[in-house]
Amino acid sequence: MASFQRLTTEHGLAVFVRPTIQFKTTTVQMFIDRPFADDYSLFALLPHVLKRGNAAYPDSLALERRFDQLYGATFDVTTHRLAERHVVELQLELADQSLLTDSEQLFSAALDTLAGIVIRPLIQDGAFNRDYLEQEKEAQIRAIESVYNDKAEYAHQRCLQEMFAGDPFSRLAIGEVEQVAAITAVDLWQLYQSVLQQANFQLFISGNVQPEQVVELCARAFDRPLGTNRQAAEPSRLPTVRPTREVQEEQPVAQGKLVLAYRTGIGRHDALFLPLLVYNGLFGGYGHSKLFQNVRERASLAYDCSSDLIATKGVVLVEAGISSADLDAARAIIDQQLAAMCRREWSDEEWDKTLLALQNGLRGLADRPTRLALTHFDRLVNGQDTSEEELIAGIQQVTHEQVLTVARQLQLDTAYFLRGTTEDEENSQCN
Amino acid sequence: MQLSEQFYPGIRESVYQTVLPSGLTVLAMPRSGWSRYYGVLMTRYGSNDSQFVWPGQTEARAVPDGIAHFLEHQLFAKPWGSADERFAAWGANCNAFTSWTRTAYLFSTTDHFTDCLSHLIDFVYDPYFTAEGTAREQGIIEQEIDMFLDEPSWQVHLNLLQGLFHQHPVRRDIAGTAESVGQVSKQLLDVCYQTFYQPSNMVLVVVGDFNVQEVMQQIDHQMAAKRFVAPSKVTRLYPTEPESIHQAETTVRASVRTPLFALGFKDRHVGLSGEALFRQQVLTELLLHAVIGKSSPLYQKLYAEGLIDGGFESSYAGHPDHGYTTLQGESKDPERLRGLICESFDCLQQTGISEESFLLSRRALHGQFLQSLNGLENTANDLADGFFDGIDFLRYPDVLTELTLADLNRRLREHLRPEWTAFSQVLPL
Repeated sequence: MASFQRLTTEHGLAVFVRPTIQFKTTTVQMFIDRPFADDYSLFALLPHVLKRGNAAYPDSLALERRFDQLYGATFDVTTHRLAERHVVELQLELADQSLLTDSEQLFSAALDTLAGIVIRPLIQDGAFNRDYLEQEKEAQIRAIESVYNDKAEYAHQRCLQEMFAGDPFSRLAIGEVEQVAAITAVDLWQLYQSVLQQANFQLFISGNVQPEQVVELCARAFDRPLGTNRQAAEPSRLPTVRPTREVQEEQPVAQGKLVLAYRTGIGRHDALFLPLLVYNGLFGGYGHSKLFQNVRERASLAYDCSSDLIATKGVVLVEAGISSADLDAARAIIDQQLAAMCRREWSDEEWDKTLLALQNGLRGLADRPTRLALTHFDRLVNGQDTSEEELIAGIQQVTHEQVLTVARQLQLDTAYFLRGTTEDEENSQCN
Repeated sequence: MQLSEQFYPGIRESVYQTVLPSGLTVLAMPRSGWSRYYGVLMTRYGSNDSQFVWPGQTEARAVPDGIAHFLEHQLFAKPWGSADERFAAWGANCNAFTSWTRTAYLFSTTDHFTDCLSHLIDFVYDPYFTAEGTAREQGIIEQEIDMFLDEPSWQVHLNLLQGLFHQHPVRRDIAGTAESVGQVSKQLLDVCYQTFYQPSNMVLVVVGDFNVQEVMQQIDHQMAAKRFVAPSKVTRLYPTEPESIHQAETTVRASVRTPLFALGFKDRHVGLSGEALFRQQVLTELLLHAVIGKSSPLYQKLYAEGLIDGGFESSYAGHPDHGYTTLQGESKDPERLRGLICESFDCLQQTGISEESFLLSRRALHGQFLQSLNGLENTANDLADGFFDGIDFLRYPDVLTELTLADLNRRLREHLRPEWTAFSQVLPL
């Protein structure tokens, strides 16, 4: 199955290589991670400013034309929160050069361009270009505000904000409006310097490549030491026990959004972690799950009702889009499913389907090069060193009793409802 | 069974094709080393097909809006439960979608591929429509309609289509309205099914690391055991659509923080199919990349002014009977944005696109096509979708190399014109 070979360049950069001819592409992902600190908005902004221009390609037009020249290489920047780490991912996807007849060494040229973005920035008056900074600050603020436009995403974030108030986990990985607005070019430049010294840098590369050749090209492109003064990662903190919070808001929308967050007290290194995965699958992870079958199929109350696991916090999140008039009915049905799980009321058929679906998901990762890399990186950050095969084997060992134990540990922490005020009451159905 | 192979040297892949006695076309694309298998059974039927000649009749009649989508939901209903439950037993994912022109049923799995394939064919060709099932589905679909009504990005796009088109059914929501959905009956579902779910109006595409002969034989065998009514011609009726724009501007207000906009260009050059349509699709994509792609001066200017962000998208939808380009995203000042875009296109009409831009754009699209092949499901869906219009999607790089700078500038002058433009925006309350 899919695995990465770990190598290190002469400058100490960790490079994970997965040689494969399965794809028509080569993908390069650079992960830069640090603690989720108080200056998190600066870190979230940094890659966006870096990508606006560097020494070799001083503006976006020049850089985008460079990507066109590299056969439409796709360059993306994403910010993640993984465990207690704040992660910036720079991703470059390019066509497999063996499918092209051009003589240019596409892969080494692309690596060089990526390295230029990260470590050979455009310096003006001792810091970043002020115009780029102001434009990216504005774009960042709009991105934060646009979470408001996607109602399901908004409800999701609001619930987490309420649940983790005061904890860095309540923060959006892309930053906070006021903090972003206050960023100066000098602030960002100083943050950048500290990132080069103290953050963790890792490269993941998949495609029609040879590991030894790759590591040499990486040494040439990333020709200086990075993150030599990094600090050890903090272990993940589970949410504390406290009374249930009920939060409601109103907006002129046609459909209400319900988000219920349950604590389990189970962390990633816990013996009950794999049983928790199985629990989530049975409860609301798939089309055959209790939530989907009972809230949607039987009661017709929602187009979608499912549960998600926030693995680093041991939190099960139930989400549904429902008519406000159906709120009580929907919550009653959800409570019934929770109670059913606590009475071990799942069939062998539901059990088998869940295990198979989990297996299917894990096996299918090998087909998604960038997602696989992110998953492996995520495991590294969480101090786990398991492969997909090991996880599948572990899941096969999970017992019904363990899942029952998990079920009895769920505690409702926060119930959030975004009430819609422009609904047609007649449209609701209560069974 | 006659199996033909098409090899594509530019991507080192093959597709095998056969037409079964029932009329169903099957395309199989073996993909070595992949863990996932994917199958999609698609019909040439979507929400646009709201007027057609019913079985046993001679005149075209209308059906309620949203019925194609309703049928898609209802096809999963069986006397023993829901068809997607069986896929779960094999650890497979199952889904379906309805667009303006197509309906598709699909599965993705890493195991039990032949079981899943067999079940897909069985459940699609074994409808079970009942009055009770229809009534129950209405509630779910009404929630789905509401969910989309709350999505400003869907609203701004639908309003654009209503601005571009006077009569064409593409201006109506795929799922219909609560009212039209209330008119759907078992009898009407039967009519639509009998008309459009004939194997001769459908295509099955399978991709994965399998043995092509074995898979084709399994499909052939299974379809041969089914009884199908003799194929009859499908006569669809589309209203006459004038070339002009229906409504140049539409503005609505909703609970959003940042305004959304959609600028559209109606295609006058319609009535194409096969290679000609494919060329037009690829040419228009090339055009959009050159004039407003990330590497264009226009895009960078708009971005620097904060008028667009990374979510901005441009796309062309090209069909035999209609086509349109959409430029869509969020903007703090949609009016100013529109002004700058139109001004720039106007200016480009005079100067033309340069040879350098053309060559760079062509190179970029070639590479991006190769990247897109990592999407197992999307590639299969594109193969299926293109099939109905006589388009071989995997020939994309070949079509690209045939295009010239003259083609590009001709297309610029004929398509990106203010006369065929409509504008839609969603503003904060």
